[in-house]
Amino acid sequence: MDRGLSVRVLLAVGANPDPVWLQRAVTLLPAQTSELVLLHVVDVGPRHEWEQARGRFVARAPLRPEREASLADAERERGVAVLARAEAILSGADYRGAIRQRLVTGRPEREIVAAAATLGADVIVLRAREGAGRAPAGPASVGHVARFVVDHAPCPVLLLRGVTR
Amino acid sequence: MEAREVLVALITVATLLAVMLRPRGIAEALSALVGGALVVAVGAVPPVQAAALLLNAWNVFGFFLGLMLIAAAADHAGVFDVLAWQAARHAAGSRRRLLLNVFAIGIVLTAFLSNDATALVLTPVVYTLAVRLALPVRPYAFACTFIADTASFLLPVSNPINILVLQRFPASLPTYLHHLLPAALGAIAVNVVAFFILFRGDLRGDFDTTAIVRPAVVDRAPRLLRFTSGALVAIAAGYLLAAWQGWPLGLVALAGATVLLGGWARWGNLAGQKLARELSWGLFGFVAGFLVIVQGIENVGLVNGLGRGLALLAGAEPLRATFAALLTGALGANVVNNVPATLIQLAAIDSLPADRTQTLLAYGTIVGADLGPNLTTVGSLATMLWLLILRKRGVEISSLDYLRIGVATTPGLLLAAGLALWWTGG
Repeated sequence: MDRGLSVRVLLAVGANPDPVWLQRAVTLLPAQTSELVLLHVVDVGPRHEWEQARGRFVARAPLRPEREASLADAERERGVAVLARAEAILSGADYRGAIRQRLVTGRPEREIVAAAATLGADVIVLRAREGAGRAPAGPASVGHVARFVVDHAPCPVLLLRGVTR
Repeated sequence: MEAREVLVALITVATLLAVMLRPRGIAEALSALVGGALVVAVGAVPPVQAAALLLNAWNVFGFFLGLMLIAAAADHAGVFDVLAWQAARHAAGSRRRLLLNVFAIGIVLTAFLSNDATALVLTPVVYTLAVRLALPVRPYAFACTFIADTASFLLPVSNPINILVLQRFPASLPTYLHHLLPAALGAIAVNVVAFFILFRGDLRGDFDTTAIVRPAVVDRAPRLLRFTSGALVAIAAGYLLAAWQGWPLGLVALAGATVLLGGWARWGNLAGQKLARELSWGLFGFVAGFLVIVQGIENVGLVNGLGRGLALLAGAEPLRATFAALLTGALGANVVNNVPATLIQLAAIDSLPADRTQTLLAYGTIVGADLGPNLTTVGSLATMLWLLILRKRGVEISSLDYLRIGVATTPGLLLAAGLALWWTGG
């Protein structure tokens, strides 16, 4: 499909959307941005690690379905809240274009790359590293998620860092 | 070596390998039972002795059954949800205080309901809490699984392994506490401090206290909750009294479980089948199989060689003996699984003369076998290596964070506990 000069942006948001960096991201979006897809990935990493730790207990029994459901609910609710908050921040930062939300579950680095491919994103925007205030340039300035995305992305990647408060 | 010795050695090694590698997903319990049956079949353990051995271990089996029933009943009544809720409420919005509260709950639950209850039942509750409060999950969820091991030699009932050790080397509660309480407190302190350092970035700042939700169970079945909480306190007191008096702990666990199930039948909806599905019946076969195998090792005299090897490692110095037992216990827990490794190590220690070194070795085994699993947390290096191979082949495996924390904390835990044990060992 020829979308001419329009640009589809995939903006990956971590678990704690930070207004400062989201506002900064808006100022850096290409002028031709026609569609902004907000992506949040519910990280299954800690869950997998815990499942493996369970494995060594001979007395392990499967996790109760009620617990499983309550955990899944909590993760979905948190994901929805993260995306709503990010969208509110973007609207407050004078972004007037269309915004689409996308919530998926998996390994963040893999899901970001996969979403970029399925959506046909023209650029991925994400933070170099999650966490408040940790973004000075230097050898540890790019986290493992951003590093994987840079290595595997099917499109250009805009890494944001060094946002000072 | 006689033919029978060779056969028993082969059966033991094959069973251990089957437990470690679980070829074709064969359950550990099945492997252990087959190994035990083979040891009887080759004549290393007469059937009558095997039967007597298992009957004699009724206290161990009763304790395991009671333990699992108590944890399941407490879980269904909502005790864990209420504890996690209180932990969040009393944290006053501070991430650090919440972690401290989670550790406190983990320590108390482990001490009285065993490490399994904390690692298997508390962890998912705390995990869900952290997600709801929009907190980083790792520090809180890992705190549960780590403290489950670290606090698991506070009391005899804190880890099923302790019951196995005390079955062979009985000790009164004061003696047990004299040897292990300082070691347990030292290890717990190191564990807590290590977490505050390792996760300092995640623990900065506050959380939104308005996101704390009162668990539905508080209003759904308040009577059952109150009854269960009261019964748990009584069970804890019963454990202390029984350990003090030298009464079988299995009886207390079974009696406690019966009382809890009674309350459940009265105020809850007791569904026997559902409950039965939540228990791990394999544990009984697993322990039974290895009890027989280890008896076989003792009968054919293989254990004397292991005992001499351990005595050589231990030397005459108490400090060296302590760490010899500690490290072999931890190694066994990581290379194989701490149940068979401990049973074999205990048989080897039992073959040595009953003196101060033997006592140190027995307590060192408890500490090593209890703390050791923190190292890889998957409990077995074989599993770990397998995971690494899978990862190389591009299968997404994410236990490396866990491993990193295990490698960073476990040596400190072992060192602190070992020094404390040596200090009190005189």
